[in-house]
Amino acid sequence: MNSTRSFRLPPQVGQPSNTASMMADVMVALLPALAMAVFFFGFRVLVLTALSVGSSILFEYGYRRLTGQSDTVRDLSACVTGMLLAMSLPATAAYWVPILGSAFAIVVVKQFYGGLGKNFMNPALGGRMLLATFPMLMTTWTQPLDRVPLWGVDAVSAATPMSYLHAGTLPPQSLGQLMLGQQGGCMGEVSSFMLLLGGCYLILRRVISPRIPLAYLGTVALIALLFPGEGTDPFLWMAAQLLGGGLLLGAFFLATDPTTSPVTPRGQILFGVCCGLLTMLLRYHSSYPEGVGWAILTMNCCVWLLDRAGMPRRFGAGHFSVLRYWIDRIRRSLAKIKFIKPQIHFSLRRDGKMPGEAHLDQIRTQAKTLASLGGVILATVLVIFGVHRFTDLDTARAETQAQQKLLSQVMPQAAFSSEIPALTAGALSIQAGYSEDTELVGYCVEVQAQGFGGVITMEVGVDLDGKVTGVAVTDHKETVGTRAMQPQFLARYVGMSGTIRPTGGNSVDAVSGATATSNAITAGVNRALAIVANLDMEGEVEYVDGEDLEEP
Amino acid sequence: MNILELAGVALAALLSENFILVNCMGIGTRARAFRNPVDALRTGYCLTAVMVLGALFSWLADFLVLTRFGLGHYRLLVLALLIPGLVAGLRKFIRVCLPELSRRMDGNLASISSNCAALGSALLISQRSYGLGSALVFALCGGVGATVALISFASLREEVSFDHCPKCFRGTPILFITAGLMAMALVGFYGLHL
Repeated sequence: MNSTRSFRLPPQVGQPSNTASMMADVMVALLPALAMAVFFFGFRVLVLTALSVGSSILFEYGYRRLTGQSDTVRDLSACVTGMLLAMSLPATAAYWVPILGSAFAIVVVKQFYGGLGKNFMNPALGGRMLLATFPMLMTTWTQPLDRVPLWGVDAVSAATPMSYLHAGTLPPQSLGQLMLGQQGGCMGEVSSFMLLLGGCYLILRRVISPRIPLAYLGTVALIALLFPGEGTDPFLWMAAQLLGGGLLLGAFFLATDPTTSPVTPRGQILFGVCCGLLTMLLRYHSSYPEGVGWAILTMNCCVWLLDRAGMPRRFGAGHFSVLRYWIDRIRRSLAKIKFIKPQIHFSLRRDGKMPGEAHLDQIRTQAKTLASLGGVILATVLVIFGVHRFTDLDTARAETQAQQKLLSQVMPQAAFSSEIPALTAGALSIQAGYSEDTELVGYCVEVQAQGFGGVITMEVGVDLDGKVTGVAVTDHKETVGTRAMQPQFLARYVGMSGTIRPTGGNSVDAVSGATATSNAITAGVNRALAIVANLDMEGEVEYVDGEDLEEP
Repeated sequence: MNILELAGVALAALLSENFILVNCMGIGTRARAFRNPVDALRTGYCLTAVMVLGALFSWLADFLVLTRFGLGHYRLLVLALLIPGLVAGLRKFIRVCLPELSRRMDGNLASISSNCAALGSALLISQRSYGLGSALVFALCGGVGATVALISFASLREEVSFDHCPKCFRGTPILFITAGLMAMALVGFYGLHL
């Protein structure tokens, strides 16, 4: 009895007193969202959560036991980590996924640095983001109310609100659906209302301070309001940005982790604002539709700096006294750096020596070093020159062969090609393809489009009827989605003309699991078709002589 | 020059191609810069200055001499001589003209001469055929990004204890794991485009 008594706080302090009760409060706050997830996605959610929590506890216990440290399972932090990890997984995740995630979260992110309170990165988020770097793991989302079976998941991928927002359009769900959680996404993050409820509970219980979530959500709302998608209502856009994706889960439960967020009030506000800025940057401009996790992880690494920046001023000190002090200090330290004019004399004759003779003496002592340096440079230059001389022709030959191979892939009916000097916006180069009897058969346009991991460069052949004769990808940075570049998928574009759309008539379906890459290739083909349509289709580039211009 | 394009180059250099964490080019700095935040700051701004100057001179060399006379195959050699020469000249200038500054950061500046970030940024600039404006912005933001990464790493070392991991991980391995975790946070910025 005495032990429980000693933890009790005076009645004016309405805050849970120890780690275990704080963690218990967090779990209570997560329960409504978990219940909604069970309602939407079925009992598989419960199994995944149990696996995640269980394995987290097991790894924590095992690690502490093996390294001979005190047992910390009772502070419930491992349970919270496991629960948060499970809630940020898709309901279709395989059963090994939460186990791997919690192993990484508990052992590497948390215990390697000394356990609870000593880690610099949020363990649950670290585990989740490690899983997000796996290809294909975090890309299939089930439709809500489409209960997932316990075994043998056959995931029907549904577009999440975030992918609509990423493409610049409002999601089809109504605000009420977004609020209650009838949207695709991770298990725990769909039900915005329940998450808000949990967040309010935590704030009222003073487990977390409202500064980080408010600053975070406020920044996101402001940016969404200022830069809405084209042709959308700014307020609807803002609401969708706030309610979709993992923003609420991140703002209330992941960014506010006391270990990995600043402790000074100003630092907390700065932390929230920076998280919001990075999140919106990622949501608008990165290849992933969602950026909450990455933003919080990045800011976790800068907590120390933010704490320094947000240090509260001493009582009685003026408003900007600290800043003034620092500026003064920097100025004084800079004032010590004085420019001394170099002593360079160019007198013609001094001390009976010729000009520069003293310098020559100096150089003579260093001559040996300089000579060996010169020798090495000379030898290198000679080697480079020789190698270049001998391999130059081979390189040129290889280039021609590669070009010929590309031509046979892009435009099989052409025998040779030559670059035409047309400068069109969007085309890197345009080659005219000629058949054996030097008849123009079409154009090969080199275009670029933004894919998942960067720019995709491709060569598109278009014949004189404006039909695609072939597509070849020449350069890309894709890490996932390379399936869309396989020949059988590229061959689907052959014979198409006009504007190719992702759905409906005259469409090429996106390759599943490689949507961004497929869309990029389609966009590139469309651009090439448009470029060729606007070219001079007569086949002859009219050459206007300078003399003709003078007399109109 | 398109402002948006410049901003894209700047963001890429700051985040998605961070010279310390993602490109792994800036890690050749001296070990003290990873331990002491003040030293990290000094190394950071030396690196930024050298990268900007290096970008300027290598771009000029590339534009005026190498591409004009078709000597592109000498590019590596020229850069490998140009950057350390630049650092040596800068050190000499500072030692003669600003002795106090030289006393404070000569060591940092000396460690830059063998830093891959300075060499690599010049090489990347010529490989991607940036214009002069983009090249300078790329070098400047790359330097700033490297500085921020260095400082946050050095400050982490002050804040986080690295002695709690198993014995076999102590020392360099845990530092690598830490850097790996920090780099993982930047994976999301991969493929950032404006």
